[in-house]
Parts: sequence; structure tokens; C-alpha cells
Amino acid sequence: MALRAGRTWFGQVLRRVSRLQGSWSRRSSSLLCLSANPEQDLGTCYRDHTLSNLHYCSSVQRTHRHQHAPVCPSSSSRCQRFPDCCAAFPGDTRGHEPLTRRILVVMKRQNVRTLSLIICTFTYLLVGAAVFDALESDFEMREKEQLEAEEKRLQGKYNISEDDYRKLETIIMEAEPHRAGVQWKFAGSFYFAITVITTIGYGHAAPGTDAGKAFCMFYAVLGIPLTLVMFQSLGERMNTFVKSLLKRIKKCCGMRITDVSMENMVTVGFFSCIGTLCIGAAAFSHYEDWSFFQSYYYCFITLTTIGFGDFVALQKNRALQRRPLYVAFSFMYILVGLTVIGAFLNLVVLRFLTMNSEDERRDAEERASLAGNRNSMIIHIQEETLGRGGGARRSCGGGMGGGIGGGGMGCAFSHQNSFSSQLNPHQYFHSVSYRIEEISPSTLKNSFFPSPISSVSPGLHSFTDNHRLMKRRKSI
Amino acid sequence: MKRQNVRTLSLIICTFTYLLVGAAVFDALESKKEKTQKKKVYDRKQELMNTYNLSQFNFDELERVVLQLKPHKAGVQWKFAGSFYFAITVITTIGYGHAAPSTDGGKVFCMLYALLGIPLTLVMFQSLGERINTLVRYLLHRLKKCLGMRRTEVSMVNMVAIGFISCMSTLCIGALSFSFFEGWSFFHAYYYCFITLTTIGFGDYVALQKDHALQTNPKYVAFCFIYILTGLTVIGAFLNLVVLRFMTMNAEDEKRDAEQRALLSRNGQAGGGVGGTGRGLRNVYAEVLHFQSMCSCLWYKSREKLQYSIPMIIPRDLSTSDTYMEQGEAFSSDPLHPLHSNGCICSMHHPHSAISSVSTGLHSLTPYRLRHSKRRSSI
Repeated sequence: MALRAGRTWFGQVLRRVSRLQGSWSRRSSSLLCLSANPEQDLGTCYRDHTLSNLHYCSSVQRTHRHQHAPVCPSSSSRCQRFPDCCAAFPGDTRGHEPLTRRILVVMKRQNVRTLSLIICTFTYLLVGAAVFDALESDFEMREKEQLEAEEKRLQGKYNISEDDYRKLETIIMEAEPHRAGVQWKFAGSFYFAITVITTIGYGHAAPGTDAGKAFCMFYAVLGIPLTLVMFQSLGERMNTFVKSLLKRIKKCCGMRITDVSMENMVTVGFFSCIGTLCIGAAAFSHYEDWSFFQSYYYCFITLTTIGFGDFVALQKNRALQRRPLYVAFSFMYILVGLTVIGAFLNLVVLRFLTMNSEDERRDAEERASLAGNRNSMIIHIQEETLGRGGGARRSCGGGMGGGIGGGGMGCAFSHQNSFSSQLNPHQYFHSVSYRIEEISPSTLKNSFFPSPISSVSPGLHSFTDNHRLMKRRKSI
Repeated sequence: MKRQNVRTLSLIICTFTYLLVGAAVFDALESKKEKTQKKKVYDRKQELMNTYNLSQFNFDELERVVLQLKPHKAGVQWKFAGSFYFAITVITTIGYGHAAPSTDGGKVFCMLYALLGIPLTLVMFQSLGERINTLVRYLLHRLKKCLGMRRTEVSMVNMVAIGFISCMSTLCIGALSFSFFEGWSFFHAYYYCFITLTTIGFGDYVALQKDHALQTNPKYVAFCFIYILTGLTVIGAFLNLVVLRFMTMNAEDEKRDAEQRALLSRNGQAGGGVGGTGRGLRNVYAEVLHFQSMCSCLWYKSREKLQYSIPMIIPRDLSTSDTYMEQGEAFSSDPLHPLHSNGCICSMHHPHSAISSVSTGLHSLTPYRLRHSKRRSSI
């Protein structure tokens, strides 16, 4: 009675555990199927197959299992042995699947994602270039003709020779940055330093001396990462603050659901960005005598750190020296605006920047768990052959395919404590703890800050799931 | 104060200090030259004005024409090649400004284009950078194996060193090419590459602006575009390796705080049900939190040793950890595994104990109650 109950429970456990693994186990098992060497001995061959059997077949809710140990066929189409399980594996010789689908299935998710992003960006560039060409080319041609005609006229009017005109041109070009006032006193240098570390880089003032250029480079090397981290840090704090505020407001308004959803946050973030741009546009159109549209364009180009330099604040009427309040406002506006944009980016874009790394980490965990199971299985088989044999095998055979290897694998995976000796809880702990250690090295390689905690916690969650299963078993 | 708030405040203070220091140094470096240059230019201007008997108004007129003609002198900026160049400077946020949209329609499209293009480009460069890092890590691993080294894992120092060297070489390659093609000195070309690849993009030096290169030299144009995009990828890979983790630090801390709160509240409820072990549970959690905050270094040190000896070590450690668990809940002291006064399980005695303490810490969160229930069921 207990045995039969244990068997059905065992099947449940298996299904739940394999669902925990999810689709990526299917991919890895398919990779296993592909990569396994037909020359391998029986043990490993079976192990690989049972692994794939466990993951794939369980996830499609099949209870029927292969009753006998397979003999690895010498041909490469080894998966023919388990036709119904391995039918979806790309290595199947029956496979009439299209090549692209097979490539995509076999290719890692991260590579597919990266390739599509590259293609997207190139297409985006091409489309942008075409549209800009269409929008600006005609105007450029007309303006050029007009200006050249004007130039000729002026040259004739003031009777300037060709050489002298070249000289005049040079002088005017050199005088251009000075037109806007003193650029390198403290206020101007501070403005310049802001444009460097935020990577705005207007170019309204650029270091003339070689020493200035060299210092600028060193300054940027340290300053840009510092600024990036600072804005993201502050942006995250702002998002957390806004989230708590919004929750409070929802509570006050007496709404039923007081959780702040992602849509709420994105909406608030978007509106704060638009608000920041509009405030800046209004202010700069007043102080700099630009139209509202031109000011808005200036604020946008500044806060996205593009910084063309066609419109630059603090360049009129010697504002840098004469109007300290306006100077302070400009600096504050740029830094606060960048924070708001940074908060929005932190909310919306940052998760995508870490997507590939998260996938790599998950793949490493999965590889670790598979390797861990294999190792724990080895030990368990040794235990079995020591003579506990039959009973354990039968109990493990319930939910899964028969045979020592399969039973051992399944059992090690889901702790067959009550049917075996005291050593088995240690086996469970062993497989579990082995998994932890396998997780940590690869993820620790990726990080030298206290993020092993976060890399451990996924493992932790699956433990809690297993723990819940254990609890249920105790209640039997 | 919460760790994240402290971190954010210190970063803000750091940045402001950095700005002040930078401003002071730039002032010291550039102010003098600016003054002398301004004077020189002014004198020459006066001289020219006198020669041709130009009034200030006339001169302003000339100045306006000359400055407006400046981008046109550099060539056609908005044909397809030039537009592509411009589109690159927009979505990578380099923004030289050598060509900027004059029409209002161009400005509007530029803003919309940037809105979608900048996040796309950010994600693309980080994605590609991560792939490159993974490939480099794998290659290095294979190289270490080939060379027959004992330790074949690739450490962070290895990766950072390689990343740094590849950044420097990218800059040097660009400097060489541009100094040749554009006629700049090596230093100025290096400065140009640096300002471009960090996306600052002043625009004081801009490639493809001489001799109508955009229209007449397609190979050089292609080289420039590929150089900019590849260089940004290399820099992006380095940033992905070194900086990205810091950008997610606050969020990770928040997540961890939320998890801890959840665990504590869940076991606060459950602790009441299990009776006298409530105190033991809280002690266990305290020990886990303590572990998380203090014992990571031990973990780092011992994990490498453990990697090669896992199948041997675990059963023994588990038996010790099981023993410890029993001791822990009985609150008895044991000479081999002394409970520290703050409940820290970091035993400094054996080198592998950190891993067992990890296992213990993690086990204690869930199988702790399991062991209780297990013992109960065996009754």
C-alpha cells in the first residue's frame, strides 16, 4: 500500500521536478542526445538517454516508460531507440524539420538574441539614413547654393582677394569658440567637465592644449563609469521611492489592489521624462531666446547625451561669467534631467542589458545540476550494488523507467529516503549541496561582488519547492 | 541606513567632487592658452578689418556666412553615406554635430529616431559584448588547458586584463589609421578615437570631412563605420565585464532585502507552529544573514579548493554539518564547532567548512523544518 502510494507520489514528484527545469532542459537534453557518442559504454549511454527521457518525456506527461535498458545502436541515429521520446530531438534521423528551425533549436538563446539585435540595428541604421537623406538633402543643396552665392557677393562687395578670404575664413573659424565668451574659467570648465563625464560632449569648447586633451582622456576613463553607476544607482532609488509613494497613494485612495504594477511605473516614468523636457524647454526658450521647439530639441539632445552642439546653453551674453544663478540652474537641470532619464532607463532597459548574462548563468546552473545528478547517481549506484538493491529499485521504478541507472537517477533526483537506509538523506543533501557548489564557481567567475547571493537564491527557490514536496511525502 | 541609500549618497558625493576637481584642473590647463589665443585672433581680425575697411556689422555678416558654410565646405553631408554617418552618431549618442538637422522635420525625426534607436543600440552592444566575453573566456580556458596549466578556470583578473588590452589596441589601430587617412598626428588621432568610442563626440575632430571623402572614397567610409561600430562593441564588452554589475547592485540589494523579509515573515509564522524551535529558527536566519554579509570571502577562498574534491568532501562535511545542525538546535556548545556569540557559523578551522556552512545555511532555511518533521514521522 505504502509502496503504491509512494509510486504515484513519485510520478508526481518527477513531473513537478521536470517542470521546474522547464524548457531549457529540453534543449539541453536534445543537445545531450546529439552530442552523445555512440561508442560509449552501456552505462553512460543509458544515463544520457534516461536523462533525456526524464526531462522530455515527463514534461509531456507520459507515464509510459521504456521498460528495458537500451542498447546503444552503433549508428548515429541512436535516438531511434526511443522513438516517441526522441521524436522531437533535432538529431532524429526521421527528422523532417527545416534546417533553420533545427539551427535555432540547437543554437543557444543568447546567440539567437544577439544575432537578431545586430540585424535589427543595421536595418535601423539603413532606414534612418534613408529618411534623413530624404528630409535633409534638398535643403542642404539649396542652402549651400544660397550661401555660396552670398559669399561671392560679399567677396566682391568688399573686394577681398582669394588668399585673404582664406585667411579670413581661418580667423573666423578660430574665433568661433571665443564668440561665446570665456570658456575655460571655473564655470566654463565645470560645464565642460559635465559634458565629458556624462558623455554629452557638445564640443562648444574642446581642449586646445595637448595636456588638456590627455587629461580629458584620463578624466573620462574614470568619470564615465562613475557617472553611469551613479545615475543608475540614484535612478533605482528614485524608482523605489516612486513605487512606495504610489502604493501609499493607492492605499489612501482606497483602491482594492495596492500593488504597483510595471505599467504604473512605466507610465509615471514616461510622464516625468516628458515633464522634465517641457520644463527645460520652457526655461531655455526664455533664457536663450530660442523657440519652444528649438529648446525642446536642445533638451532632448542633451538629456539623451547625444549633444550635437548646434544648440548650446550658456553661450549668449557671457552667461557663464555674468549670470551665476542661470549657470547653476543649467547645471542642475542637466544633472537632474539625466537622473530622470536614467531612472526611466533603469526601469525599462537595464533588465535587457543583463539578459544574456542571466541566460548564461541559468545554463551554467542547468549544466551543474545535470553534472551533479550524474555524480550523485554514480555514488548511489555504488550504494545500490552494495546490496540494498531490489527494494529500492522497485520503489524507484514506479514513476519512471526501470533499470538500475534510471532508478538511481530518478531516486537521487528526488530523495528516496523512506525506502532506503539512513544514508540516503545524506544522498539527498549530497545532490542538493553538490548543486550549490556547482552553481557557485561558474557564477562567481562572472562576478566579484556579493552577487553570489542572487545566484544562489534561484537554487534556493528550487530547494524550497523540493522541500514542499518533502512535506507532502511526510504526510503520507 | 539601508546599504543602497548609503551607496547612492556616496556616489553622488563622489561625482560632485570629481566634477569640481576636473573643473579646477581644466581651468588650470586651458585658461591661459584660451586667453592668448583669443588675443591673437582678435588682433588678426582687427588687422584684416582695417585692411579692407570693414565695419563690425560687415564683419558679422561675413562671419555668419563663413560659419554657416563650414559644414558645406566639408562635403555633402546628407546624401546616403552622410546620413548613415549621422544616423550612427545619433543612435550611438556620439553626436559630433558636424552635421545637424536644419529642417524642423529633420529635428523631429531625429528625436523619434533617437528614442527608439538608443535603447536598441545599448541592448545590442551589451548583448554582443557579453557574447564576446563568453567566447574569450572559453578560448582562454582552452588555451590554459592546452598549455597544460594546473588551474584552467579563467579568473576575473584574466578577463579584465584581456579586455583592457583589447581596448587599448582598438584605440591604437584606429589612431594609426586615422592619422594616416586624415593627416592628423598620432596623438590627435588617438584622442579622436577615444572621444568617439566613449561616445563623448566633441566634434573638434571628425573623420570623413576632408576631400569629400564621404562621396569619393567608399572604402574608407566603410572602414570608418565598421571601426566605430566594432570599437564600440569592444568598449561595450569591457563595460559589460566591469561596470554592468555595479549598475544592478541597488536592484540586487533590494531583491535580497525583499527575500529576507519574506523568509523572516514566513518563518515567523511557521515558527510559532513548531513551538520551541522558533528561537532556533530565528537564530538560524540570523546566522544565514550574517553569513551572507560577512562570510563571502571565506566562500570565495574555499570554493576553489572544493571544486576538485567535491565527491570526497561532501559526505564528511555533511555529517559534520548534520552534527552541527543538531547542536545548533540544541544550543549546546561543541569544542569542534563552536557557535560564535553572534551565531556566525564561519568556522575558521577547516578550509572547506565555508562550503559546508553554505550548505548548512541554505539547508537550514528549508530542510531544517524537514528534519524536524522527518524525526517526527519516524516516531
